[in-house]
Amino acid sequence: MSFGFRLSVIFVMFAVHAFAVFWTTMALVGEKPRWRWYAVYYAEYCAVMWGVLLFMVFFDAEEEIWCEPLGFFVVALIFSAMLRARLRVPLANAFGAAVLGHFLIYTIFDFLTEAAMYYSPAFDGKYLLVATSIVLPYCLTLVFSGGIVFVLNKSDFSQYFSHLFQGHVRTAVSLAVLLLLMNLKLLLDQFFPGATTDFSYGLFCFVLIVCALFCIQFGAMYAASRDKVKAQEETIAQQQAHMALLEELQGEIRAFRHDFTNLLSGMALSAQEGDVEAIQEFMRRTSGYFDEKLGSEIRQMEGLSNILIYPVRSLISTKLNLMRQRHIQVALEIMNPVTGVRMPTEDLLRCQGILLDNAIEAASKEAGKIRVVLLQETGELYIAVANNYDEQPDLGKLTKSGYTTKGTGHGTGLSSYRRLVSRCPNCMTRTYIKDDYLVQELRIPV
Amino acid sequence: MVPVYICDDEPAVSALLEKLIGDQIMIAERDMGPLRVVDNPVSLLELQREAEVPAVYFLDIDFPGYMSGLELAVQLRQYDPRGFIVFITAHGDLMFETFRYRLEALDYIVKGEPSVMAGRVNACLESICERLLREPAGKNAYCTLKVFDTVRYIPLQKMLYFEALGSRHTLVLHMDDEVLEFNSSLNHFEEKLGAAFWRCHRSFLVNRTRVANVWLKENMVELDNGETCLMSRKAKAEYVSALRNQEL
Repeated sequence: MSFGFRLSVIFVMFAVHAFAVFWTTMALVGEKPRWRWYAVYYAEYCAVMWGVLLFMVFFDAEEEIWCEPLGFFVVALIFSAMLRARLRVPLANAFGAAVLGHFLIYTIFDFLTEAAMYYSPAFDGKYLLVATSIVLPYCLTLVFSGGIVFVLNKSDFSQYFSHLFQGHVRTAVSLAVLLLLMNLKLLLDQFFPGATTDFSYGLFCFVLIVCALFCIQFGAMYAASRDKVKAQEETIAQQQAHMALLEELQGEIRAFRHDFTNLLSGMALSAQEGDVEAIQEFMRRTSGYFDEKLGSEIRQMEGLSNILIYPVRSLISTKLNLMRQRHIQVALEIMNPVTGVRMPTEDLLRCQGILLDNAIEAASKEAGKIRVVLLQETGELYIAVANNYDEQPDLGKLTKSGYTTKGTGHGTGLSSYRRLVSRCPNCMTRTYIKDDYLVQELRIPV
Repeated sequence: MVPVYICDDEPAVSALLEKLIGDQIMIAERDMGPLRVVDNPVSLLELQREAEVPAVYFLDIDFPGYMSGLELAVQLRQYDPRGFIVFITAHGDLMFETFRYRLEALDYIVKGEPSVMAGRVNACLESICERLLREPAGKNAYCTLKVFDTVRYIPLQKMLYFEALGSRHTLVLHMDDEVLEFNSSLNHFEEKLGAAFWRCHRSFLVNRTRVANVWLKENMVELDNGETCLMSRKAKAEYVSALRNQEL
C-alpha cells in the first residue's frame, strides 16, 4: 500500500474517531452539534494526535504508554476550553463530558475491534481483512455512538450530567472518576500486565460502560432531586417571609381600623353639633393618616406582585426583609408587570442580588435609605438601585476590579456584576451620583 | 429664553399654575417664556416642535383617553433630552422614584394649598435656572449618545475618557460622578469627537482638556481627577515628536 493511501486512511480514521467523540460530547453537555464546531474539533484533534505520533516516532517513545492518554487529555482540555468560551458551558462540565466521550468511544471501538478479530474468518485476501478488521469496527462505532447520542438526548441526560458538577467536592469526585475511567485500559495494563486483551475483555468493558452509564444516571438523578428539594425549601422560606409580611400588614390594618372607628365616632359627635371647623380639622389630620401608616407596605406589596418572574420576586422580597431588619428605609417602585428579559434568569438574579447587596452594604449606617425601581417598557427592562451613603464613593476606583470598603477578600461583587453584564449583548449600565444618592442603573433589552 | 409649558386637563389647576409660574418669572426676572398652557398631550407634542429646546414642562401625571404622564415624558424627552420635567399630582403617592431615575424628572408638585404650591414652583424654577447657568452653551459642547431609544446630550467638559473592554465591544465612558457602560466601538467615537480627544492607547480615548499629566517613563496619562490611562508606544512617540515641533 502506498504511503499516501496509508496517510489518508489515518486521516479518515481520525475523522471518524473525532466525529464519534464530538457527537457524544455534545450530547453529554446538551448542545446541538454543528459542523463548524466539528471542523474545529477535528483540526485540533489531528494537530494534537499527530504531535503525539510524531513524538513517539522521533523520540523512540513507542513503548511509553502514557503518550496517548496524555494526548487525549490535552484534546479534551482544549475542546472544553473552547466550549466554555463559545457556548458558555462551565469548564468542569465540558471537560467531564469530553473525557467521558473519549472513554465511551474508545471502549466501544476496542470492543468492536476485538470482536471483529475474534469472529472474522481467516482470509488470505488482504483487502477483505482490512474490511472486516478496520472498516467494519469504525462503521459500527459510528452506529453505536449514534445510538448512545439518541438515548442521551431522549433521556435529557445532559441535565443530570450537569448536576455532577455542582459544588467543588462533587466536581472533583466526578472528574477524578471520569479520568480514571478514561485511563482504565492503561491502568489495567499496568497492574495486570499478563492479561491479554481479547474478546471477553471487550465484553467486560462493554458491560462496564452500560453499568457506568446507569450509575451516573442514577447518581445524577439523585443529586438533581436533592437540588430540587433544596430549591423548593428556599422557595418555601421566601414564601414564609412573604406571609410574615402579610400578617404584619394585617395586624396594622386591624390597629388602624380600631383607631379609625374611634376617630369617626369623634367626628360624628362634631357633625351632630354642627362644628364645621372641627370637621375640617379632622379631615386635614386624617387624610394623610392612612398613607402614612400603611402606604409604604401596600405599595411594596403591589410592586412585588407586579414581578412575574418568580425567582426575581422572591429574591427582592428576601432583600426587602433584610433591609427591614437593618432599619433601612426602602422605596420599591414597580409600575408595570415585569415579565422577562433577554438575559438568562440566573444572570438577572445575580446582577440584581449584587446591586441590592451593594446598596445594603453601602447605605448610611444611621439613616439608610434605598430606592429600587424596576420598569418594563416595550423594548427594555430598566432597573435602578439607589442608596444614600456616609462617605461619597470614588467612581473612578469603583470600576477597577476589587474595589471595596471592607478590606481584602471582598469587592468581587462589582467585578462579577460587570462580567455578567458584558456577557449580555446590548445591555447598558450606568453608575452615577445624584442628590447624595449613589445610583446603579441597568438596562436590559426585552 | 426657555419656553415653559403647562399640561393639565383640569382648567382650575392649569389656571392656578399659570398664575403662579407667571408671577414667579416676573418677580425674579427669569429668562423664561413664553408660558403656554395646553390641556392634552397631543397638542403639547406639536407645540414643542415649534419652539426651541431645552424647555420646562409642568405635566399632569395621567391623561385619561390619551396616554400616561410617563409615556408623554418619554416622547418629550426624545425631542428634548435636556429639558426639565416637573410633575403635578393630586396626591403624594405617585411613583416618583421611577420618574426621577428613568426620566430624570426634576421634582413634583402636589395640588393643594396655593401658598405651598407657590413655594414648590419657585424652588423648581430656581434649580432650573441654576442648572441652565452651569450648562455650557452651543451644540458643539455636547456629545450625543443614543442608548436604546433615548438620546443623551453629555457636556464634553464632563467627560474624562473612554475605555474599551475586552473583545465584546463594550465601552466604558468615565465622567465626573458618572460611569457609563454600553456597546459601541472606540473608533466610532474617535471619528465623531475629532481632535478634542486623544487616542493614547488601543483601548483608551481621553479628553485632551482633562489631561493633567503625561508620565512618559511609566507610559501613563493622568487625568485631572487622579485616574490614569495607559499610553501606547506609538502614542508616546507621536506625543514626544509633537512636543519637539512645538519647541522648535
